[in-house]
Amino acid sequence: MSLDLSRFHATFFAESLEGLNHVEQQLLDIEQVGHDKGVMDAIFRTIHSLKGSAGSLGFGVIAELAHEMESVLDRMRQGLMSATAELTNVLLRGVDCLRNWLLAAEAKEPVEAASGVELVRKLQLLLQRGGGDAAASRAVTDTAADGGTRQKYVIVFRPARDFFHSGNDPARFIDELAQLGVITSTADLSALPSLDAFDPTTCYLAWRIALETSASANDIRDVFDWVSNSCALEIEHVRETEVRSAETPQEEGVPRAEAASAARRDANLITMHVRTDKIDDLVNLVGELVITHTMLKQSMQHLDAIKDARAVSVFAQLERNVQDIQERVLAIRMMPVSHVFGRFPRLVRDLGLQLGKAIELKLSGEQAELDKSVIEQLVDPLTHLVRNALDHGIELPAERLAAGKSAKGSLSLHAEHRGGRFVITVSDDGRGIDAKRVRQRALETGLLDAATADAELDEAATHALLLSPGFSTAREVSNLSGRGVGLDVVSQNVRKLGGSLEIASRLGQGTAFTINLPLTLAIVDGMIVGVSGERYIIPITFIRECLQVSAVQLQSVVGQGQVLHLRGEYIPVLKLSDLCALKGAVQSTQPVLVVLEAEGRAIALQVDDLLGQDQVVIKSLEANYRKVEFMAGASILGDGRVALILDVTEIVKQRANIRPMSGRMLSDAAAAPRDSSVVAV
Amino acid sequence: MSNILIVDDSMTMRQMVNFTLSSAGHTVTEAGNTDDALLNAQKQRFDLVISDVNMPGRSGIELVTELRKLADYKFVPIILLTTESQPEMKSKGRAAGATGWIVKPFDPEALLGVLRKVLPAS
Repeated sequence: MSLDLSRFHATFFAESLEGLNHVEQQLLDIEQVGHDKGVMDAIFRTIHSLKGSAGSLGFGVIAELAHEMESVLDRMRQGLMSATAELTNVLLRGVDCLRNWLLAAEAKEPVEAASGVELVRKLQLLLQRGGGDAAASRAVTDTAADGGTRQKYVIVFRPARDFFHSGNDPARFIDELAQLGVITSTADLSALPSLDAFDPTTCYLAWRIALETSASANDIRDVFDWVSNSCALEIEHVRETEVRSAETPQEEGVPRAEAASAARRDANLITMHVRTDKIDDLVNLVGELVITHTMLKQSMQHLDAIKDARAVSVFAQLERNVQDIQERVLAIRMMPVSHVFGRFPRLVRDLGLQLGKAIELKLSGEQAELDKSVIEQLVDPLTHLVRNALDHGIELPAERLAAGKSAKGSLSLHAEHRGGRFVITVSDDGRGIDAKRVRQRALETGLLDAATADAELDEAATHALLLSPGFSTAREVSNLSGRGVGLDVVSQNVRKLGGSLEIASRLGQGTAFTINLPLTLAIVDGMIVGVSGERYIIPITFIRECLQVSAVQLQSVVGQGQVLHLRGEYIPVLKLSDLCALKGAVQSTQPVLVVLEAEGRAIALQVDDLLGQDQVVIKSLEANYRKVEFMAGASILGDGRVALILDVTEIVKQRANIRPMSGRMLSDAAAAPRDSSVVAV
Repeated sequence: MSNILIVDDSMTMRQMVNFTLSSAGHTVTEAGNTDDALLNAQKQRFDLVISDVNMPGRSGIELVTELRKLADYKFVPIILLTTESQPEMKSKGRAAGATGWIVKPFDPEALLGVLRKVLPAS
């Protein structure tokens, strides 16, 4: 019977890769906090399972390396070897190698077996040095069968009285023996008691079996391997009249405590692997459901609460259900941010060693959940920020000591929900951003002209320079954070997610990068506004307040258009009709102003009407039509009409651009407001 | 055909064993750990239990011990999945009352061979 095992590959790859990620983390933990039986057991188990599955599925190379790692891990968990930096390094490299091989095998590419040879050798060496006998744990190959010639054996098989208690049946062993050759067996009934004393759960029989076979005595003993402790076995080689002992070598090992491991207790939660596209389909369908529901709601507006009481109450029920489904379905796509954070301990450890910097990494809030697609797109920007902090932020130990700091630098990654947003902070206690160096560098690269540089650049403008394309203060392009990719790419990536990047820095004390993100990209709470007969949607998270003002409160400023004077603050006014180049705009004497705030800046958007508030499903304009300036997407309203969703971040930026700046225009990012302590991106 | 319970924390292993056994016409129930296996074993009676040894929480050896305490499972074959690197597991398994073991890695043919050894001939 041959079975196609390839159907298990997907599960194997997913499970193994996930397992390796855990192992990586756990190895680092062990290195940090020292031996922990529970964690070591968990690591051992994962590699052990991986080896078993790999071997069974025919990935011999993978199984072999896993086997060597397992041997070392086994001694480690018994406390016979300790997790030295060298040992951890080799094991981590083993994890990398296994991961690469798994990825290659998954992509149906040939596995680079050569890269593992060195590792296997290293592991064996460590094992020998660690006082272990590698050979002891390896498979012992059978002595070869006697060259195919038929031999005669006489086997006496005497099961113990409690033989049945292990769930075994003597007849099965005789059946199996029969598969080795031709047998003649006679049962020894002498021990059978009288019927009234007979206990059906006791084995009273014994057998004498003559076997003619080409198999060896070892093969015969193997048949009885399971029951070698619960039977007496004699195997006699007839031609040579050589009687061999029926005993198999004693296999009593060191007793081990089977400690429950807290580390993988999470894994006991019942989980199910589901293809991502199935969930995406579900999310799309829920989006449609929400739209349909909104349409229904609109057409039911004229129902009478008393006359149509039943319809109204049923509809209210439906509304709750739709909301629940929407929440739950979106929750499926939520993943803890630990999926990204988890990769950094390793990165920080390796980079720290490479750079000769001692660094303590603090992770917090990694259980906070975020949409899967957002998490995936966060990997690159976060990696870049972490590398940047290690490379440019945190100083060498000597430099730190000279500055009166501890030799060990500290890098913190923190995630949290803040209002309707998701905030991730990457902060270090390094040297901070040196405004003078930034300015000098900007002059060198031509991002800034001398006149502007001489004028006092405030903090925000300085930080904005950092985010300009092509800016890097590193003298040489280091292979860590360099490669010509600058912070501008980070801010672009973050902006693509509908988020923003802020920098706060104190010279000599450290730098903090804050990424501010929407929770989900699929559905947004929107305010529907009307202007010139058209409708637009403003995401509510950006709305600070809505107000109706008299024309008096609006003041004209030369070159700046109108501004709103509100509680001592001057807020630039932008007409949505102008922005969207709509004709026939209504010049209301009592315009409605929606005060929007993004990245610390406010702008007042003038519209004709506020039409209501609703949850809207974001449909991509780029995917369905083309990119439209100032628009983040489109949605279908309850009445079936399409409305565009405003890209508030973009609009705020545009408004800043309209404003005349002294000196040369730096770049989009650099043209941030000068009165703000943070940089809008 | 027989009603078989397989216990392994590795989904790959479970799927493989399940598929092999199902293809041979057996009814298969999967459990991911010892506690789950014991719950299943009390709900219905299995003709055979195949269990991994190394699992989070209670081990496969403990599963054997617990099963043997149940009247229904005194004589039911229980096979452990072990590896060649753990010879001591065999004697531990035996002491706990395991019927026998399959050494990983194994192929479907070996698994079916073991079945012939412990299940009543159909």
